[in-house]
Amino acid sequence: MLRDALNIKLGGKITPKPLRYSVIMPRVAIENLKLIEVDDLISLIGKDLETIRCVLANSSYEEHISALAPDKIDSFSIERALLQNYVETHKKLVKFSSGNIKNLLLAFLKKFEVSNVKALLRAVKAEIPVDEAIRHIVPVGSLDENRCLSILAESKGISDVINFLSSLEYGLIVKSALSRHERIEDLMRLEVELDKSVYQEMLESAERLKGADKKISKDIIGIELDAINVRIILKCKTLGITRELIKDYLMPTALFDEDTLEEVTKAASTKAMISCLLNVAEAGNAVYKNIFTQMLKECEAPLSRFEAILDKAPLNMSLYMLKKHTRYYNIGFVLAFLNLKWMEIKNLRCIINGSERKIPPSQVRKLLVLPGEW
Amino acid sequence: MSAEKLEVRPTRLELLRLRRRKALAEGIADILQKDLETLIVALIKHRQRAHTLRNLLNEQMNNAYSLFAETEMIIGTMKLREISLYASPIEFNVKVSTAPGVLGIPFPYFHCIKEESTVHKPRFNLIETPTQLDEMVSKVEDALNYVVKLAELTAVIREILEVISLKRRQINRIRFKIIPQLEATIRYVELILEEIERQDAIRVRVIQRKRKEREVE
Repeated sequence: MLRDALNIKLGGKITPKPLRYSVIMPRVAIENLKLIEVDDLISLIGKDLETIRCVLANSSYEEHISALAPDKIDSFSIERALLQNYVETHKKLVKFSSGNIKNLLLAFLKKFEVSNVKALLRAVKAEIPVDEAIRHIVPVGSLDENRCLSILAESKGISDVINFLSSLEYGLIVKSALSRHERIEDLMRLEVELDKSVYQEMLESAERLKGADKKISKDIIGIELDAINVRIILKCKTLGITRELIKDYLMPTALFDEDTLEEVTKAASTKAMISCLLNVAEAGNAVYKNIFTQMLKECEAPLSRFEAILDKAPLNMSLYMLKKHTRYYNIGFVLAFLNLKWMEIKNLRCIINGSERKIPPSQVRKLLVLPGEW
Repeated sequence: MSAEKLEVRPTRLELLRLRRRKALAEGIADILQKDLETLIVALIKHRQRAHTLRNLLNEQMNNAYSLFAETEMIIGTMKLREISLYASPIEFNVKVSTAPGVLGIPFPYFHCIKEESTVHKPRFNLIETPTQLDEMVSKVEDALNYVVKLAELTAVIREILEVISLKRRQINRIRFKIIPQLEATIRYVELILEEIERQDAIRVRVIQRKRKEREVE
């Protein structure tokens, strides 16, 4: 038991658990220290793009922000630089990790890879120029910039993109999705299948971990999937989409299993749906209970409010896991950092777009996803 | 400015006919004036409706733009542009017909027909897009109805303005051309008839004088 908790069999030899984290933990701690303080982030609201660029140029985003031409600064270019930074940071963590932790981080990174596959499909369908299309792609993993450029340049239609991707796992996923749905034009189906595959792989990677790592990662990925599925159901119900069709759009399940989700789709009102979810959430941890209790309290609120609450779920779960488990020698710290970094980028993106469009600061502030008491 | 008289024979019958024509012209001018007033009232009402509709459209578009900005803030410019690449446009058509309006004038009637598929499907990726984007689309669809109705009202207002202009020209023609012309002709015929009467009276008096002189002889 103690051996299980402290050791992992890696490549035929036993590696003590702290040793697995000996390299990645300092790296995460360093990156964690580079995160922008929430108060500093809030102080950027309402500032012009140049001021924001200067602030970011003196932060962990320095390398990517400095690469931007000062006369061509806009929300699009800054956002792209932020995403590049996130991907680079993520890759750095992958580099310093090993074994199943590395596999889990790689599975997380595949979300960006899939996002690039979707961007390729969308760009080819829209028949936009290659140099315009490549701007929507942040190269990562097997889809490097040259490969993306060649796919974009040589593809005449979606089927060509699928053929180019056939050597990758995504090609197989898209092909199998196409065999089930005869219309190649319906990109949504392909996108849903790609998303499902990424989340499935994340779950499988979490399953391969052991002890507290397994529980923490499953809980964090689980709440993300549950939040996504609840969002999908709420949105589909609002749009008047049939129950049969909703099932096709759902991602792999976690705490809320298929039966629960089926029951939720049958509920007559939003309140009934949330009550049903809350009953199941009681079996989960405090984060689930808090989220669905809050949603039930605000059951008359617009859907966007529910989405804002659900968007915060993975971050809340990560922070909860940090409190519950020791700070070091488990995956919680790594995943919490990744979620915090992602939220920081989302918030910066929100602030930058708000500044460019001259949105009142109070409105921008409302859309920020901030942890805890902020 | 003296009006040109009509080329008529200066007879009593013609005078009666001219007077009847003048009365008729005055009657027509009165009717046209009442039509004009009705049209002006209708124009004011339509203008007020157009103003209200324009305000509603402005409000709707402001809401839509606000939701669009929120969406952009939530998912970022990159993702939003990417999503816009494959988003299908709102399919709609405008059916144009006419319906009798004020004073029986055929007014244009625009009807916005949206091509809705039998199966409801989400327009955008459900995971990547916030609900604000769907709300924005819904607002834009509503705004589209307002745009079509506003176009209809504009067409109706243009139609009313054209009819008003026509009626005004007709009234002006009757009041400032036909009636003065008839009045001038009536005066001319009356003068001629008076002149003839005077000549006849002189002729009668001369004849009577000559007859008396013959009797005396």
